[in-house]
Amino acid sequence: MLHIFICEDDQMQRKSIEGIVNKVVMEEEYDISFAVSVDSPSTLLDYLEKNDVKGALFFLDVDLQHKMNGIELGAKIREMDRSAIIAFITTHSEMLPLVFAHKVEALDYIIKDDSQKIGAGIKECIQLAYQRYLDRKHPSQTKQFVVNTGSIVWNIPYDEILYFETNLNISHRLILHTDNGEIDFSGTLSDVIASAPEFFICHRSFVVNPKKIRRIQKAKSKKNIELLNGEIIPVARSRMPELLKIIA
Amino acid sequence: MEFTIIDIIHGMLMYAPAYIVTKILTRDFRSYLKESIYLVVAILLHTIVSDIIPVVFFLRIELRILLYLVPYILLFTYLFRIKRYPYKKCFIIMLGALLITPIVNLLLFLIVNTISPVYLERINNITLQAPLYIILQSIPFLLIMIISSALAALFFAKFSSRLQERVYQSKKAQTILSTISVAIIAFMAISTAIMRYQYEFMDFITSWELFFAFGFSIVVFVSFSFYMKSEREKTARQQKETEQKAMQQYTEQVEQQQVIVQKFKHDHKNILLSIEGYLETEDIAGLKEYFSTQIKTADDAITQSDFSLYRLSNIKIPEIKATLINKLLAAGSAGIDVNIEIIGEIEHVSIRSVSLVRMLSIILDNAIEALAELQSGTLSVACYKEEYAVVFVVQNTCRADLPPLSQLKRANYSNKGEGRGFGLSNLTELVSEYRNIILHTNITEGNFIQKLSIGKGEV
Repeated sequence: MLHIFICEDDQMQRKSIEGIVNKVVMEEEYDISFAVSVDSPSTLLDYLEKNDVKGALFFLDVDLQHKMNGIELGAKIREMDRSAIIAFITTHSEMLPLVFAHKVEALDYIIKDDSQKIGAGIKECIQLAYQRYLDRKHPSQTKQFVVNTGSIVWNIPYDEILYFETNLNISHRLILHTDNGEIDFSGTLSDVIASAPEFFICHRSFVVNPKKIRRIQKAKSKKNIELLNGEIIPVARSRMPELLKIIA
Repeated sequence: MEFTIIDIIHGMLMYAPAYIVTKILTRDFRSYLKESIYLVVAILLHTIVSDIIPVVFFLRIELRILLYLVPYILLFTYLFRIKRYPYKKCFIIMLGALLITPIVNLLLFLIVNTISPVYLERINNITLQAPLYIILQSIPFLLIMIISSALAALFFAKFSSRLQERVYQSKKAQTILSTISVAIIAFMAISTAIMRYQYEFMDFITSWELFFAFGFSIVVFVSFSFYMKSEREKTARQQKETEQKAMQQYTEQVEQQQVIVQKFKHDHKNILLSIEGYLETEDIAGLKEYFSTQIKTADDAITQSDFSLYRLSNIKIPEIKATLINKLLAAGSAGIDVNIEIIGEIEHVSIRSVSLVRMLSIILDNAIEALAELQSGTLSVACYKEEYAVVFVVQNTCRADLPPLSQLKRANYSNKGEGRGFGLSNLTELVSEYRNIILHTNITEGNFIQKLSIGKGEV
């Protein structure tokens, strides 16, 4: 069952959001329980501490008339539960899309200035969250690679990783290539292999995710791997037999 | 002509100090196959060029002098072609390597000379045709030379790391240093060549030329540090000026917005009075009409005017604030929509602010350039604190058909222009100096996003 929480300090607005959520749940006949609707962050956090709720959907107002604002509350919830789904309800002037997305990893934000769009926004959020909830019921066991620099820790799901590359000119610096970007951090390929033996060191400066290999190009002079996104990375001659064994 | 494996080993030992010194100066301790092959080929080539060609072709002495430039050309080729450094950086690293090895050599010769002149005499006159035992005898000396050069280089690298960074930041300093290094190389090449052919090496050590060489390097070093100091003061002054200018512009902008806010406050009062009037007469229809025509439109006007600039006041580091103001106001006046999201006060970052200013400048310049090309779109900048980090996020709208990042980078590297690719590779280099930085670059849904996370800890 998917739980929904609301934290909004203005009573009128809270009632209106509750109404919309109830309507959506009724209409779509979702397996959803409306857990708590509160006006203060501390009440919400107290509840979360006493009850073990994972993967719930939260609608948070940004300005809560409290020493803790909605963004801090969101960050706190994220800290307690990585699988929480968070959506912000905000006025136009408090809108911080980048901060919502990066600091809190929020699903979306709904602008309450425009009363017509609130309903559609909330409905969309619930649909998305419910889809995620269904996906989680049959977990595909997504393992995460941990980038750890001592002070910053990042998790990247294995199935987003294409390959790791050393930076030729700069020692002890790695570039992790994902489907749509790259992450430049301190580390060595041997550390990568030690923490993630699923990956394969195919060259002295490359470690590849075997699941992302489309095919192997075996020209006479040069051996390469073609990845699912069309990128091409080199393979050392000596690593060839083992590579063929792994992807066979 | 005897040409045995011993000669090659000997040649390698002669070359090892320079190789190790270069390795330490470039701070790259891994070994590559390419490098090893290059080293072996270089040694063979040098042995052949300096010992065999003159004998076979009966070159005149003046021409042989030129052959002593070969190792320097080889070192340059190594840095330029294999390490792919810019040519000025190559010259500067060469300068370091070339200052260290000969000075260490000279000192070592002096020490050995006081302990055992005979031994020095013997190994000094070594040629490829020398008997095997003499060549073997010289090996301990060469080993000591390798170790002491490595130590000297480590020392040099440690004490000059700040200086090095400054040099790589200043184009003028790079030009001057590379010119000096060419001059020194020429001087050393010619003097060693003359020295060898006159068989007066011992005289040279005791003669004024030694003092000249030392004096020369000291003069170069001292004048260079003076130059760097004045440069530093100049940049500090310039920085102050730009900071002041930025703050002034910022104040003007914020004051303008203040006027709009005042106007709204005034309107707000009137609106409340009107509502009161409608309520008193219980004219709900009139209130509805008034709300949709008057209040909504006033609200839209407020929403549309840009109010995010004031959020910069959360940044308490003057250089960073000035950089952001500069770039963001420039973007705004170029007609780009700017959205600023800074929450929580940012008082401190765990890296040198000079570096952070450069990183942010590169990221923002790239974003503004891309938006100017696109002629529409939004530039968003966010900054916030996490428990153990400060995070900057810069996002710009980009072409929907932008190729994947890896392709983008490759294309720009090969263009070698002063454009985006240049900045990106500079950024990579800057970021790599700090273990506590993660740079995340992403292209999603028509947005180009760069996220710089700076962890707490080392400075």
